[in-house]
Amino acid sequence: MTNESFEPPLSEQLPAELRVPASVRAATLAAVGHARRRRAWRRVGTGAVAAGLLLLVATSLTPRVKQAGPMPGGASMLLASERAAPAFAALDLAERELRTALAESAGDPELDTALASVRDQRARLQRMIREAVS
Amino acid sequence: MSRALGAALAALLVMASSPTPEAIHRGWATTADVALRIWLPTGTVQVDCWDRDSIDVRGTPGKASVFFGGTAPGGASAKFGVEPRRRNEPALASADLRVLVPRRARIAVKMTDGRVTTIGTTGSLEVLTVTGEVTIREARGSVTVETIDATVRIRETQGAVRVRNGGGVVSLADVQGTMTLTTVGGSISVDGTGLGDGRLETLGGSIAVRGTIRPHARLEVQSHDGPITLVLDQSAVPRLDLATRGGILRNGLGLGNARFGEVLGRSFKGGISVVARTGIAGGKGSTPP
Repeated sequence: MTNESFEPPLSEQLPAELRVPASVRAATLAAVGHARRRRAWRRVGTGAVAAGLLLLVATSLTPRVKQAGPMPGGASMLLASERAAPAFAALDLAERELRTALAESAGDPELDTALASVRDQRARLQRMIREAVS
Repeated sequence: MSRALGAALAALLVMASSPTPEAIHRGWATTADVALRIWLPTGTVQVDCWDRDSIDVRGTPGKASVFFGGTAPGGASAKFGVEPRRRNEPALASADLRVLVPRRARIAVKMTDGRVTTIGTTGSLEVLTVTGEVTIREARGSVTVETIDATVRIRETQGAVRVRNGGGVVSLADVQGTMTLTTVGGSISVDGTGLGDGRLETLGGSIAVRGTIRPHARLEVQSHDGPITLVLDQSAVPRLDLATRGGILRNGLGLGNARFGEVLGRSFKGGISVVARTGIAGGKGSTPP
């Protein structure tokens, strides 16, 4: 009686490996795959944020290269400057001649008036060039 | 064959995508003496007057330009013009406009390079342009033109005329009011009977005055090195006070008489010539030599 086995009979013993139902196996594999993909995306996201921060820091540290673009009204100002160039040359020449004449006859009111007129003309042309923009 | 077809399709696409300028036709109710500002960098603008209290604008904008405009509440002031379609457009905005304004409108036109024509204004008129052509006819109010080297032609005006130019020509005919004309290198030409008070001044351009001067009117003519020519009626020679420092003075008509007005001429080194007006215009029926 003492040698009587407590084990159930072989016919009633469970198999060494349990056969998992196909539905449970599929669900488990899907969950594992999902977790793996989530980890991968998290890694990509973290990498993108890090790269963005790096780019931000790099661009803020690098001096911006300025590019020449057309200034609004620049064409008008350029044209005005070009057209006024001969007048400025004539005014400069006239002013030199008037100054020389004034040195010889200081205080001549007509020469003074003419010199003031030359300066007035130059100031007017300069103003016109400035105002050609708008 | 297929390449040619592709090129044609591409060209069609480009044509379809580029904006085509639409004709402008706008109008606003205004006051009779509306202060109007016109801003047209390049192109043409013709301003005519009518007896209505409104502004009518018709025309065509340039390819890369858009029209803008409007009036202040009550219509006391108005502004219109063209601007570039894109902010960085390097070319000047342009349009060809024909404008009808109330006769008493106070008008200011600003351009860079273009043609301005005004006819029949009675309010103040102001034209500012770098270059181009300014033509003003039958203005009864004051006229102010400021340019760098535009050609300025003014005819049949009654109000005060003020022109400041750089290298452009200024020509006036039949001007009844006062005149102040200044140029750097541009020539000045004034024709008319009964010219009023005025000051004509140039640095290197020539000055030519043809006609008669109103009794008691005084005309000041001054140049730095440009020649001055006075073509006067022999029967109505004004009192002439002429002097040149470095030029030659030629006066075939004598000192004249103050009852025919007065001309004060000065030149730093340009010549001064006084000659008789001949032909029918000079009242003699003779032919010029």
